[in-house]
Amino acid sequence: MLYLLIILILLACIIYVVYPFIYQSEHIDQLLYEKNIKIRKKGLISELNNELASGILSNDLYNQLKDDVDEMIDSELKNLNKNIKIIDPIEKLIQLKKNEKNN
Amino acid sequence: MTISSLGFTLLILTMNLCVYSILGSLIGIKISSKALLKSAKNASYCNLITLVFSASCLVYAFITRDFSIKYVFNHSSLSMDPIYTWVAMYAGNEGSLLYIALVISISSFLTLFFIPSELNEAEPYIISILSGFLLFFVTVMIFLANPFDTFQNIPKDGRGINPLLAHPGMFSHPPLLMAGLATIVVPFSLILGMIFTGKFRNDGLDYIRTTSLLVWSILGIGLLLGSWWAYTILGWGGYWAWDPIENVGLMPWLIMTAFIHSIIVQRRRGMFRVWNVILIFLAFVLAQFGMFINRGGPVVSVHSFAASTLGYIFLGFMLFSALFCLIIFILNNHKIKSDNNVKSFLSRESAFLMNNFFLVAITFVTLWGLIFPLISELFANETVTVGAPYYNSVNGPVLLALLFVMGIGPNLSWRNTSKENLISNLLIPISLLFVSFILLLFFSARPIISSLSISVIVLVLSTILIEWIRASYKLTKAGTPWHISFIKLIINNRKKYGGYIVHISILLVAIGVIGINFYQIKVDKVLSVGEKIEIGNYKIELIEINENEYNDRREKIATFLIKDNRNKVITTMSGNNTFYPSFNMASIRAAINSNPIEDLYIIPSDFINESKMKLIVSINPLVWWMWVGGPVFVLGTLISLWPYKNRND
Repeated sequence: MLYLLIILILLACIIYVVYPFIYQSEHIDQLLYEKNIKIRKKGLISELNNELASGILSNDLYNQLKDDVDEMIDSELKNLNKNIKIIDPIEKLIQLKKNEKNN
Repeated sequence: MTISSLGFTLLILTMNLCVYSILGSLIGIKISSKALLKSAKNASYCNLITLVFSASCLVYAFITRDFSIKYVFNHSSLSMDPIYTWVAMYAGNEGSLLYIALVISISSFLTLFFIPSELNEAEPYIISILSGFLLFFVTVMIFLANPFDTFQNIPKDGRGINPLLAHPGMFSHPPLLMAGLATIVVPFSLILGMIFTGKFRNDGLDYIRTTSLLVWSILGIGLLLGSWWAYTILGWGGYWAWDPIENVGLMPWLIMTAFIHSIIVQRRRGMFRVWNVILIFLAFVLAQFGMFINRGGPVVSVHSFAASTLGYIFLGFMLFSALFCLIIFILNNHKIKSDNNVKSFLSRESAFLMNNFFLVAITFVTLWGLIFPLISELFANETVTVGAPYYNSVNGPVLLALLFVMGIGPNLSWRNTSKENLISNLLIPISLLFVSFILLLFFSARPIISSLSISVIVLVLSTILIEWIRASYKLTKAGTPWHISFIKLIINNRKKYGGYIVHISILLVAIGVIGINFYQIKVDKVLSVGEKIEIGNYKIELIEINENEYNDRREKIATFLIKDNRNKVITTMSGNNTFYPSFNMASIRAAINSNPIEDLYIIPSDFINESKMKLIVSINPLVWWMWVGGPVFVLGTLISLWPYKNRND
C-alpha cells in the first residue's frame, strides 16, 4: 500500500514537471504589465481622492501629490517601453492580415 | 515499506525537486527556455505535495504512537493526551525542521501561484531563492536531523511531551513564530528577484507589501501568544522577560515593522528604495540568527525547545546569508536609486523615517544585549548577564519616542505640511497630551515616565479618533448617515484605516505594559492553610493544598478563596506546581482572576509541606487589554490586507 502511494506521488511529480516540455503555451499578454502599471496609478489617485474627500489633504497638496504620481508612473511607463517590446493587438492583427495577403 | 521510510523517501524526493527547480530556473533564464522555466516552477509546486505527505507520515506515527521512530518516542507517550499530537510534531528539533520545511513549501506555492505579472521576469530568480532556502532545511533533515530515524528495538512507551508545551497557547505560539521567521524569505525573495532583473522600482510593490504584512502579522501574533503563554504557565509573573528566544523573534518583527512602513513611502513617493532593500536583508539575516539561537546557539534560554547540536550549521547559514546579502547589495546598489528625496522635515516621509530609525535602534539595543555576554566571555573571559533592567531602561524611552511619532506622523502631509495644517491637525491631540500629562502628574504617585507614557497613548488615540471623526463628518455632509460614512471611510481606504486599527492594538498592548510595569503591587509571602493575606482590595485565604500522583507527574494544587474589602466572596482560584520526573522539570501555573481593570495573579512558587506554601501575589493593572490587543491586531491586519478588485491578471 505504502509502495503504491510513493509510486503514485513520484509519477504525479514527474508528469507535472515534464508536462511543460510536452505542451508549450505561447499565450502571454504582453500588455498586462502596462495595464497593471496604469491600474496602480488609478489606485494611487483613488487613494488621494479619498484623502481629499475626507478632508485629510488640501487642494494644493492634492494637486502636487497627483503630479508626483503622474511623474512617477510616466517614468515607469517610459522605462517599460524601453525594456519590453509591446505588441499591440491591433498591430498584431494588421501583421497577420499582411501575412495572409502575402501567402 | 514502513511509514518512517515513506516519510524519509519523500524528503529525498523533495531535495531532488529543489535542486531541479533551482537549476531549471537558472538554466532556463540563461538559455531563455520557457518550457524549462515552467517545469522548474512546477517542480517547486511539487515540493508542497511531497512535504505534505512527509509531514502526514510523522503525524500518523504520532497518532498510532509508533515508538519505533526515535522522534515519536522522545516527544510522546501512551499517556499523552491525543489533543497534543499536533504540538508533539514540532516539540523537538527534527519535527520543527520538518514543520518549517512544510511552511516554506506552502508559502512558496502561494507566492508563485498568486504572483502578479509585474514580477514575471523576476519569477525564476524568486523560485531559485525559495527552493534554495527549502533545500537547506531538507538537506539538514536528511543528513543531520532525520525526523524519521528509527530504533532497532522498539520501546514500549515514549518519554512524553515536554510539560511546558502542554498548554493551549502551544497550539499556535510556536508554529506561528516559526512560520513568521521562515516566511520572511518570501518578501526577501521577491525583492531579490527584482534586484536581479535590475528593476527594483515600484512594480510589484503591492504584492511585496501584502506578503510582508502577512509575514509580519504571523510573527506578531506568535509573539503575543508567547507572551500570554509565559504569563499563564511559566509563573514568572511576567509576559516578557527579554529572554534570548523572545528577543530573536522580536528583532525580525521590529525590522519588518520598519519595512512595512517604509515600503508605503516607496509606493506613494518612489523613495527609500535602498533603505527598503537594507531592511529586508536585515530582517532575513536576523530571522536566520533566530533559527541559530533557537537550535543550540551559545546563549542560554529558559525555553528553547528545539535545542540541538546543529547550532553551528545554522550559524554557518546565517553568515552565508549575511555575506550573500552584502555582496548583492554592493553589486546592485547603483540600480536602486530613489526618484525623490525628503523635501521637508515636517512631512509624512520624514515621520516614517523617524519611525524606522527608532525601530532599528530598538533592534540593535536588543541585539547588543543578546550578544554582549558572548563577546564578554570570548574577549574578557568574564560571564556577564544582561537582564530586563538593561532592556527596559534603554528600550523604554525609545519605545516612547516611537509611540510619539505614531501620534504625530498621521497629522503630517506627504511632501510638506503647511503651518496652518500642522496647527489645525495637532492642536487637539497635543492639547490632550498636555492636559492628561498634567492631570496624571498631580493625581498619580507613580514615576513621571508612566504619566508621560499614558499621555502619549492619549495623543496617538486622539489623532486616530479625530481623523476618523473629521473624515466621517465630511462624508456625512453629503447626506450619508454617520455610521455608514464611517464604514465607507474604512472600506474606501482599507490600507490606511486597517493600519490605524493595528495602531490601536499596539496602544492596547502598551496600556498593559504600562499597567504591569508602573502600577503593579507585589507581595511575597509564606502562607499556611487557613491563613489570609491582604493585597489591594483583595483578601486571599489559602483554603487547601491537594497533592495528586499521576504516571508521569506529581501535581500540587493550591486553592484560594478570594474576598473583597467588605468580606464579600469574589471567587475561588487554583494554581498548581507540577513536577515531571522523566523531564526533571517543574511547571508552574499561576492562578489568575482577570478583568479589564486588573488581574489578581497568584504564583504558587514553592510547597514547603502539606499545609504550608510560598507564594507570590500581585495585582497587575490593565493587563487584560494587552490580550484584547491580539484580536484587534488581527482585525486591523485583515482590513489592511483585504484586496481591491482592480487587477487585471
